[in-house]
Amino acid sequence: MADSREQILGRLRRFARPEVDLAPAPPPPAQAGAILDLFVERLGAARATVDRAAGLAEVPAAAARYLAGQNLPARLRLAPGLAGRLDFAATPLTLEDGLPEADGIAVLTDCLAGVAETGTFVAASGPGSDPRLNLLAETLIVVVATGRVAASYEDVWRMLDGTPRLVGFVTGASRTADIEQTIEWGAHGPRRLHVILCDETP
Amino acid sequence: MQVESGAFVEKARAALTDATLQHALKHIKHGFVEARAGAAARLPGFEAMRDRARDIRAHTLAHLAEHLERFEANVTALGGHVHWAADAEEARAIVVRLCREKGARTVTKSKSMVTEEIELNPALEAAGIAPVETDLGEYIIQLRHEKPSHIIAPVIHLSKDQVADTFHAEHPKYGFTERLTERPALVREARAILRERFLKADVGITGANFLVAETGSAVVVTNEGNADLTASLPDTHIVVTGIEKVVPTLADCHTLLRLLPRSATGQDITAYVSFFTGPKRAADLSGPSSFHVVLVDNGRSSMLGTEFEEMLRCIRCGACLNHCPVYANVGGHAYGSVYPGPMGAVLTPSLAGIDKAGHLPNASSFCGRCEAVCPVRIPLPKMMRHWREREFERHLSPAPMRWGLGLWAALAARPALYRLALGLASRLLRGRATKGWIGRLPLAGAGWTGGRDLRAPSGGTFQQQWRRRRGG
Ligand code: SF4
Repeated sequence: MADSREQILGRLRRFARPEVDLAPAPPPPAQAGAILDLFVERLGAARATVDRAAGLAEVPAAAARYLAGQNLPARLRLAPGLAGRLDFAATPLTLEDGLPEADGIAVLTDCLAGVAETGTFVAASGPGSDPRLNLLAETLIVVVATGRVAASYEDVWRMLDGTPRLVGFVTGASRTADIEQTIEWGAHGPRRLHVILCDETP
Repeated sequence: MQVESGAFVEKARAALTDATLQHALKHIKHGFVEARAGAAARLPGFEAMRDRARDIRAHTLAHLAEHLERFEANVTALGGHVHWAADAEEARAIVVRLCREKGARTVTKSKSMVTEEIELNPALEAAGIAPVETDLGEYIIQLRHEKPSHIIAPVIHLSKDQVADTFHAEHPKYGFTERLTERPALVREARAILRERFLKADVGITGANFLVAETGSAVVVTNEGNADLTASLPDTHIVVTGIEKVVPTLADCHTLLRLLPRSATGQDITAYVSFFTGPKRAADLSGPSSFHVVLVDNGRSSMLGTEFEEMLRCIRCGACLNHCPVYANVGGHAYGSVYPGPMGAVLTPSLAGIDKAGHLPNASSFCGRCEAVCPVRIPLPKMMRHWREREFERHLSPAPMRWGLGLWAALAARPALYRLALGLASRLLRGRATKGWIGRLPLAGAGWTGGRDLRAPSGGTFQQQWRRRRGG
């Protein structure tokens, strides 16, 4: 083991060419137009649906509206980052505990950021988030704060302090095109993705 | 690495008359070729980005030791472990040992070409550990005991009906007894079965599309989200990848990530692009408590400093397969290697030896489309030519080809004789032609005309015409 390390590194060092330079990284591709408009447009291209909320207080109603509109069960698992911060009393939604192992439970979550470039939301692991929920949910509803929509992926890393265990860039729902190169949604993760753009940062 | 490319000619011939395969391969054009062209056109500066990507990869290879050590230091600082494997056997042994230490009975795996290359699954099975492939395509391959036929679309060679048959044969033991016929139903059934596996696995094994030196991250892209489930549910996450996958910075990584899906499937981004860095932190609510990265050499470091070094720039997008007229007609299995198509024709002999993969560099029409679409601008035709030269030097090419080239060399060195022979040959060939085409050549030429016609010469040899036009 230790021998292999030395052996491999030794060979790599022998062929090292310190003189091969790399120019500084160019800036990420510029995005034309207003960042929020682009974000919404690209979300559509990724087949995510979008709603707006002026503040966090409007989010429960927006989530209920979406589930009802899709004819989905009124059952919701709340991500830890939103727990205790939203009032569902005025909605028909039942809040669930545990992992949404079986289909039929929607997850409502906050996230680190949005990226306009491709209509992407970014989830990072940490004390207020459990990445498993986003992956197991059949229906995923994500609250993205309008103040945290970045132009490019590179900008997202500047919002972070250190590197969490998982930084996931997610664009649209889970899908596969393995059988006859035809897209099917809900391969393993969410079958559908709904984004609530919220003017207040959770 | 198991290579069966010696039978390329026979397998390719069989593939050409396999109606199911030929129908399946038709999906390449719309699914990949047209999609890539659209994605490239939509992104301003795409070509300049390819130059930058080439430079990032070339720079990384020139400083590979440095970047790997930095990567290792960052992983270790977070409590993760980095293991170095000189060859496939050592890599398998490391992974089996790590699984045993955890008392693992089942492991979930997300699609990884390196684990195909090192043949990890048989080693796990021999150790009493059940590997479960979770990428839908790889899962189907595993059920059928086949190898992937494409580096990003493992079952591109199969029809929906074949998948239905496979599920119908394998799934009754899980209580799914009906033979399904529609794609959504097939995907739903696989989802239900694999969901159970994800939740029960003791260890998750993923590959890595990139390693980031500055953070110690392993980056995996998928559309299904299966790598995230594999890496997030079990208590141990093992990353198995090649030493060449490292890039210096996050910014470099994002440049390559802008090119990878666009070149591969024509997507601007895959559904999931995930950066896994170390084990779960103390305050995290979930995540694996141990994180291992197995860095596999297996012949890669021997490519440095050779005419094949540039091949190590490859980011495994599959564009060269999709745009290759040979691949599009014979599919991946004919190549007899888990790395098929143009990239495989260069990489397979580099990793397994030219004596085992001699036919592959010849499985090319040298049309150059592979190089034209390669996101990191690897000169694939040039390298296939290098392999042909080496093969010839080592007397590995077929006898008729050697005699033919020997004869040509002897004639070319004697101009008068050359002119005479060429004039004679062109007259003879004209005599054999019907309507300007020759369907069959004698002797060594018979092989050449076996699958194509030769245009009959007309208007004299090049030298005769040259003299005429110069007014000589
Ligand atoms: S050689 Fe180039 S085109 Fe082919 S898989 Fe590698 S990066 Fe893609």
